[in-house]
Amino acid sequence: MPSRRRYLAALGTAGSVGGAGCLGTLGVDGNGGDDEATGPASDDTDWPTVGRDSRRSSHAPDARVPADPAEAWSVEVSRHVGLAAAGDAVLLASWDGVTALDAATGDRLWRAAPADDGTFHTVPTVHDGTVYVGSDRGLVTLDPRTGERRWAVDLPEGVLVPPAVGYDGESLLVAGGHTVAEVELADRSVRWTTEVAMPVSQPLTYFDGSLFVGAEGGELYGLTPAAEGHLSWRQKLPGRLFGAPAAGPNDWLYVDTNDGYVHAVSPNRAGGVVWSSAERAASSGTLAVAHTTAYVAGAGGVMALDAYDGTTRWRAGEGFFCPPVLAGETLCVGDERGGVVAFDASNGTLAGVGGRQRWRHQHGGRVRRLVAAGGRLFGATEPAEGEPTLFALE
Amino acid sequence: MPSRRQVLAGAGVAGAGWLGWNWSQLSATDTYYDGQDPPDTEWWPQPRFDRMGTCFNPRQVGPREGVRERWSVDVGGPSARPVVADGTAYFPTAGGLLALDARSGEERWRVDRDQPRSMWPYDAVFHDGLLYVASGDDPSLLALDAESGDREWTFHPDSFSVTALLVDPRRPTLFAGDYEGNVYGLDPATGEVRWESEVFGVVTQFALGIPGLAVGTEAGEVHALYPDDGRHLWRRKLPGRVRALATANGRGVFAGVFGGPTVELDTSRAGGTTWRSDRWTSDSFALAGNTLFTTGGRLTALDVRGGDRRWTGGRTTQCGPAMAGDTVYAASETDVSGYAFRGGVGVGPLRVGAKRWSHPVEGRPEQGFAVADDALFFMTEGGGEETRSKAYALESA
Repeated sequence: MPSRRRYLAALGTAGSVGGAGCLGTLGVDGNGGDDEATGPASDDTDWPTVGRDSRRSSHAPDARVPADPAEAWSVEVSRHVGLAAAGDAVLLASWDGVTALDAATGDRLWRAAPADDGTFHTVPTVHDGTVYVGSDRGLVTLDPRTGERRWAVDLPEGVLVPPAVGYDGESLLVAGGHTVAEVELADRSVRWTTEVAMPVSQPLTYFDGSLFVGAEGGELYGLTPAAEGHLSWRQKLPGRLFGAPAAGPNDWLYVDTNDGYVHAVSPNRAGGVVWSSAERAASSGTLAVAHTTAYVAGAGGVMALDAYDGTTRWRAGEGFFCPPVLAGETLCVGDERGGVVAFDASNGTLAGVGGRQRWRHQHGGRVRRLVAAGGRLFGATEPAEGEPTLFALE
Repeated sequence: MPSRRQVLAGAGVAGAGWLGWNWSQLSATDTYYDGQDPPDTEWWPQPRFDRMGTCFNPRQVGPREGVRERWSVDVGGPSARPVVADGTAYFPTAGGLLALDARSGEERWRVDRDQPRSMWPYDAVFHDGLLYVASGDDPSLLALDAESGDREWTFHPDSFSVTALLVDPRRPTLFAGDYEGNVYGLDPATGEVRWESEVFGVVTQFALGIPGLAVGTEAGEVHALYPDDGRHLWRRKLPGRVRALATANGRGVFAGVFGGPTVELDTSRAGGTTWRSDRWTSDSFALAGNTLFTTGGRLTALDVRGGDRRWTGGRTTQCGPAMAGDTVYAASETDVSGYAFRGGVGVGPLRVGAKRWSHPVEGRPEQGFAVADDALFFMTEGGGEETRSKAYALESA
């Protein structure tokens, strides 16, 4: 194998982590590097990847959601696997292609179908003026203005989960099957590949030089990209993972497993479980984490958990199968009756104050995905009958 | 060399002879000590004293009632725990490995940046006239003549760093673990690889008990291997990086992870937990009879038969404790202290006279103590311009 020391030595040059894809009109003035993609604190209001950033915080601190929402547009779309928004466009990923729609009107801007790549698998990740999509064959890049293919990198088992932006925004961390890899963006080379025991099943999470990989069978791995993907630890969690591990305070990871509980995992403790929530969340996707609170949405409602000890701060509503979106201090989530519900995410100064419902907008179908970007809220439905819809609230 | 059984059989009887009144202090509840090879050594040949990782020499080979400085010298920051053998103290530092005269502190030889190249020693072990040094260098395992520092043989494993070493002096074997989780059983005389095995994570420590070789890793795993061929017995996942391992005959494997817990793993139940304590330790435990000392936060004496707390001493820092005779050595941020094994007089955690003495040092003691030749050997980490990193020898006042 190549010398790790050589690589470690070469690493010292890196700086801050690249931009979360501030794109203007989708990539025209992309300027990665001006803020931290791995940190929730950026001043743009894009939602460029699943969980919004490589920490998978699902938190847009500067995003605003409408106080009195009205539906700006709604269009029928094909069955989807992911939603992102950057600049003036909303990107909807399906097995058979990526569609870009005008965020203001819902008009289709372009559509990119996989060529000889097989199927597209991941939520598009917009980074530094480029759209990245995973396929059966590897990593595919698209021009954000036209959807034209720019370049692709083949990987042994394809790229089947959403990638994370690596150190200094100069690389993408990708995974498919049992293979995890780092792709250098400057020369499109594969820096390293590492095999993990179980097939990777969740979006990758990266922060502070560490990569976290959720896999089948409730397995979670900690890797060190700077050491050529060295597998630092492995942890078996008490159930299958739902969604990407979300990084929060203490640099702990928050994961949701199908035993019904949320677990806090400490990378500094070799993936040891620090706490498990007292109450069952029974959610079906990624958490949102901000400040000292982890939010989870599930069939039993939205729960705000103290990130330090897992106690429930507040609980509200019921019937959610949509990962929560935290825009500023508003927590938005789609429900099974076709609604979008906004809660006051603050914990309140008195017990029982947090979690007040601010509004509910009825759209129809079952709202399964939400993103907040550019002052709007975009939702995608998976109705029991008929075509899925994509809609915008403003 | 006596066989293992002879040593074991002789230990109960011989112990009384070695220890004098100390033994009577220990023997009320503490049964035996048998990890030491040879049984009457005055030296501290391995980082954690013996193959079991006890950090306990039953002989009172270190200061008991008080200390004064024998010598101190400036060093690069400490990178691993010192060992002491045949009148020489070996200090692994950020600037290389230093061999100092244990009496005078005079430098005998060193392996450093210039010869041959930069070096960060991860571990140093003495056996039969050779000093084994593990590092991130190339080659990453050196066998040096302990007198002269001359190279006897070298070994380069599959990964770039050897990170942990242990010698079994009974059936002479050098165990080496590396960055990739490879574990090697080597002939200590020649460096010939007898077997190779694999665990998960960067190897941090070994402890050799019956029947297994316990291997701790940064990945929070403890693996037990057959020491003769490296085959796997069992493995356990712990919630943190394994920072301390020790074992005793008739007991399981004591494992500590940073920030806690400390657990006893039952070797007969595939590493199942016998007990669990929220105490933790850094670098090592000190294990004497039925008492296990930890130094996370405060010096704490745990009963190995259930993990109950026997007594608690003063504040301690991340420096592996040690014990000689009935004296326990532990460090705070600024001082090194000697404690009475029993924790002085008192009931439960309330104690009077637990601490026998305390001695201020420059810098913060790190990595751990070695006790030999009526002295306590350790290093401190300095802080910038004002405080220097030093190697110390404190002797009986």
